[in-house]
Amino acid sequence: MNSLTDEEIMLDVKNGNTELLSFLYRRHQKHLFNFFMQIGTEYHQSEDFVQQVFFRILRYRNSYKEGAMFRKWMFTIARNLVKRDYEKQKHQKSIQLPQRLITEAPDDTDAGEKEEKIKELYKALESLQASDRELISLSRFQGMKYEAISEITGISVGAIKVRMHRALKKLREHYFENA
Amino acid sequence: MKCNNPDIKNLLTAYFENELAEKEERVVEEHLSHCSECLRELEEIKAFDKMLLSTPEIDPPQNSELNFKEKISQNKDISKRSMTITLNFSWREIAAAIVIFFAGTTAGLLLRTNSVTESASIANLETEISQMRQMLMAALITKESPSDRLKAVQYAEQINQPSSQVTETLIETLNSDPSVNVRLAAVNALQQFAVHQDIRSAMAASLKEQSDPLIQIVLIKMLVQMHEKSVVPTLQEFEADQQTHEMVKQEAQEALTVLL
Repeated sequence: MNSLTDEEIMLDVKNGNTELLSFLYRRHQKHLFNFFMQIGTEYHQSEDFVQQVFFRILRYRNSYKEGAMFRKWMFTIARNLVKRDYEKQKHQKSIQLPQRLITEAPDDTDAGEKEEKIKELYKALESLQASDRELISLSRFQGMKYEAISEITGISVGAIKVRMHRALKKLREHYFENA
Repeated sequence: MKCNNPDIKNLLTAYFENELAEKEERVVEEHLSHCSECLRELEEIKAFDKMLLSTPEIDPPQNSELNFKEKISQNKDISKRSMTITLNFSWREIAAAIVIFFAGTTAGLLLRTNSVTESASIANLETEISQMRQMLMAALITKESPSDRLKAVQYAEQINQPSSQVTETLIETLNSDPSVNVRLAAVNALQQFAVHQDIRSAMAASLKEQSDPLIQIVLIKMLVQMHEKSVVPTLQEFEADQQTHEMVKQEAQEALTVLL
């Protein structure tokens, strides 16, 4: 199963093998979770969002178009969820990180150093607008190309080029200011 | 040297990420060959990116996957419940099939007794049946009794390549038949012909006219599956309207997250 692409698995899910969705969940939940965190969603809310995204994928599996990039679809759904929620309730201004950031390898000797790194990044992210965080998250942390980001966000590729530059520059300045 | 070209400077990140068109790339490279300020910024971009990529991801709560599986299995119970509805539909289809089977055999027998047996090809027979169904439908759809109109819709459903007259009648029925059951049957019949864009559009337009939550939900589900985007404004109206039934609102919201 691990050798299959997202798209192949999703097609199987669409054709009725719904339990295969758990493979996609396992593959993407951590990245998706971090996407929610990076754009400023609270820790437990982020977990809840991840599940909601996959529920929608399950529910609307029939509208998945063969050949469409799965991750693009996933992030479009994720983004719409956040947008809807954003209109309902005020978002937190400062990003609240949980006590433990790395739990998977508790005996990791570098864990403290890694957590420090994450905290610095999030502190710098906090000073950015939500829309800029989103661009940075999709591009740098989720590895999406500008073309795909353009389709997810509705911002033209031309505009993304410049906005990405400004957003990363701002992030860089804040990062080193804090350090 | 101070950089005198802020437009090019703004493209440095995209240049680093290999996201520029060839022409732009050449312009940037040309500029870099003589602008030390931009060259330095490019180095900073590279170094910072390395730092970003080496920052680990936060671990989600550990029981996350378990929770998901649990909720999925709860969800299965829900889908079992909705199965009964689909079963109801298929019973109706079976009933329709039986009616049509008899209609078909009678037509066949009629043809036979009329001594056309040898020459009447199967294709001919099929057109005959199709025509007969259309006639029956036209006759029944105007009846006062809802069960007659229901039969009419079921005939329409069985017509292989319906004329525009048939589909128009179905859309008309969907929009204005007083009985919910007849309208629901019309939705199901139309779904089969929804390969045609004009039928999908008509279904999307019809959603606005519907007042019954059941029909609204069924229509929304179908239109989402067909990926019919023209329905988006109506869904947004539903979402904003206080009068909309709570379940329809939910359906509309979820549909919007997928369609938008």
